[in-house]
Amino acid sequence: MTEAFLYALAKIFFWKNLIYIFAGTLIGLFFGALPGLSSVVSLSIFLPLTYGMDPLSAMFFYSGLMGANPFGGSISAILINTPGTAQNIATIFDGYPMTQKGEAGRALGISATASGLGAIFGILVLIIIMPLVRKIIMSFGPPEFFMLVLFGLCMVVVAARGNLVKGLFTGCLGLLLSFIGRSSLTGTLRFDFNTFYLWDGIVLIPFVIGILAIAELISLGTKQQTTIAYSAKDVATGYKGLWKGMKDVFQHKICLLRSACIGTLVGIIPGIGGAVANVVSYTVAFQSSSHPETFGKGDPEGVIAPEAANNAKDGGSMLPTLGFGIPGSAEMAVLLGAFILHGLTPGPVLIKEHLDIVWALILGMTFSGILASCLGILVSKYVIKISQINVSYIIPLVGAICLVGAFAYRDNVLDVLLAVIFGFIGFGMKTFGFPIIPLVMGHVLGQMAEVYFNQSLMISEIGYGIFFTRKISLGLFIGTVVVLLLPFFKKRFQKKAAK
Amino acid sequence: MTGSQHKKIIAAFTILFSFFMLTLIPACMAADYPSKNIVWIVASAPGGGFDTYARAISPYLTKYLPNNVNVIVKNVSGAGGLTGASQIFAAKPDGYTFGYLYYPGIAIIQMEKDIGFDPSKMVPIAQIAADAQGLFVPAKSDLKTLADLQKKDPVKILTQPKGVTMYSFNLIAENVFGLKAKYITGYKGSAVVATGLMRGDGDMGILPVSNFYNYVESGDLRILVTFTDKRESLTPDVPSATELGYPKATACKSWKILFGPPGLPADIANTLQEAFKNALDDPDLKAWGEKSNSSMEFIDGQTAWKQLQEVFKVYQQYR
Repeated sequence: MTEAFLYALAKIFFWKNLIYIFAGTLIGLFFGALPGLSSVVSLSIFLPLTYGMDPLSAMFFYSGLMGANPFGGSISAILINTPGTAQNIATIFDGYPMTQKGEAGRALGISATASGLGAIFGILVLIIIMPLVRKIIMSFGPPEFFMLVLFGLCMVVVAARGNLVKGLFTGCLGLLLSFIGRSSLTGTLRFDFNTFYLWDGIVLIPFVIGILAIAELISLGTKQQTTIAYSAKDVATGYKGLWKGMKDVFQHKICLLRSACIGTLVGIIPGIGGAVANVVSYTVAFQSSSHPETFGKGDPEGVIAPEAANNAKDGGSMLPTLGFGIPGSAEMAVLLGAFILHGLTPGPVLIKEHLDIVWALILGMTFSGILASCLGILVSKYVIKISQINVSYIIPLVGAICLVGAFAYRDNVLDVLLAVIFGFIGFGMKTFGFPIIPLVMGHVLGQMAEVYFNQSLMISEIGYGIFFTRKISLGLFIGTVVVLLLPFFKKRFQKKAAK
Repeated sequence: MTGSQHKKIIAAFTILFSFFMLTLIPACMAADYPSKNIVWIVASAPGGGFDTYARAISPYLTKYLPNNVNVIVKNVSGAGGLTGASQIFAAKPDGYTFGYLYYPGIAIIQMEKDIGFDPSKMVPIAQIAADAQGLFVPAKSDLKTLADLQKKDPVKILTQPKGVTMYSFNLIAENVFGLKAKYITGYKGSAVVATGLMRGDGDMGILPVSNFYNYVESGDLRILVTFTDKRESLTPDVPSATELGYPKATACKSWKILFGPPGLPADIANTLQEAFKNALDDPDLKAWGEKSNSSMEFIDGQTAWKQLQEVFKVYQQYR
């Protein structure tokens, strides 16, 4: 194994490959920052371009694209409340409030540092766990997946602090939305209104563009303030904010490490997807914080947690993708196709015979994650100015990009309509104080919960007992309960300590 | 006639003549097919098996088509392949748009609901592959032959949900082999089924041989029977369905067939067909097929369509 690792590491330093990684990183960063044009779309666009390259170089290029995407998505998440993809959702919780307070530089600094370090820690964790990876993947079946999804759902409602009832309401609405389309379980078409369009349900990317990005743009348009930052004068410009953000990350080392671990582990487990890692990481940080009231208003830990996690997860999610041909996320699905195009078949044989290519990808992504962070820091100074520009310029420009992004996902004009409709729905929800994130996460996790729950029962010989007799499943359930009750324990602990 | 009247007549004549020439242009273009880029519609997302075949083959189509035009792959995913199929159906039958129709998938959906158009009106161009399926079981299970499977009660089958091709494969297997089947659905794709088998979620799954053969090599899965007439070259030790006395089971295949819109002229269809035939004979493309375990075999459009009709009868029978 070490030879393959060293071989891949050496190969990175070839000029040709360095150029490919660099090119991939630049493109990935740029596309990632544009709402709707991120990872899946950019990977699909560039897939055919690599046809003529040799496999290893093509892989370095892809790894550049994929490694830079999380941070690219963070830029738009922090500045305009628009996650590049679902994996950046949690970044908006505290990243955007920081921008509104004029601390965009700090948020970007945190994001860049946490992303880069998250990528590194992710790969370290991966190296340590590598021999166990197969065992881990084999031990996670439908009952364990269900418990993870349940954890995710519970966390979502907790994260929607402020109004628990409204949060539960929108969460359930999200669940309902997820059931539109063809059921993965029974094959029946539900709520499709006899159209081809709704066969696949409310597709995630146009939905997220609408309900998060477009809704925010409409909201900006109706507010009194003329810039994204509450006060343009108070925006910390130059590198001061960035530097502060970088220091923040080193002051919260535990949060960083914990988030990277969560990210890697969630990434390794196939079937959950990247959207969950950042939310889970955020919620754990929130629950274990000694000052949870500051979350949602611009707490640095609220940015460190999701950022470290969503970079760490990419290294992890390579393993089920390459080892078993099961994509850990939609981006990985496109990557699989790239593999086959270059004559490589994902599966156990790939890990045995082409371990160098696996490492090339993982190392490439780590490299590009770090590179993207560095590049991001360099351009941040200029990018921060977005929070000072009059919104009457920002709204049409970003709006146009969003609509293009909604279309570019799969060349379907109806997706644009979907994005606009959900944009208005999202605006309505904001106006009446209904939290949007539970809706999004409910939608992401809803059908997964349904499928895994039913599959578990179908597999089980002992009915509902299957959830509690399998060790990992039981462990996850207990973990969920503990994390939910953590604030109560802490309060009791603090009271006792005060006495 | 005065000079200016003369001029007017000549002007009128020139204009009429130009219009006449314009009408000839389409005829010229048709005679000189292909004269611009052709679009190959793949009705699924980038990265899937159909997509990679299209991307691998399209440069060779360019090589073997007259006039060296580009063949551009366009992904139109949605509705299990129907969105793309309806786009091909609605395209102009001028040879500049064609693509896959997913059989038996579309036929299966048609049996349950009205899809709004009739794909059987489309013009078959060529078949490029018929992916052989195999009956996979976990290597650690004690099921070594089909006979063992037939004795087991119940047989837990891991599969995609009803309405998807894989489910119909399992229905046919259940009925033709006489298995006491219990279905566990919800698996999103063949890779997920394979992992489920290795994990011990169930007893069997039907998967494409060429894509999952490497799991047999690595000792994770075993194939009990292949749904083919003769033994597959990848698996010479595994009996074929016909050999064991179940020729009907050979209906379980996934076809890669290209179709053009209804009304596509025969000569244009033939040009495309010839290009496919030559492309699949190209040694470089064959080498790619070997390396990536992607089997390719050319069958002309009409023959392929006729063979499919026979197969549809089996699907009708076991719904």
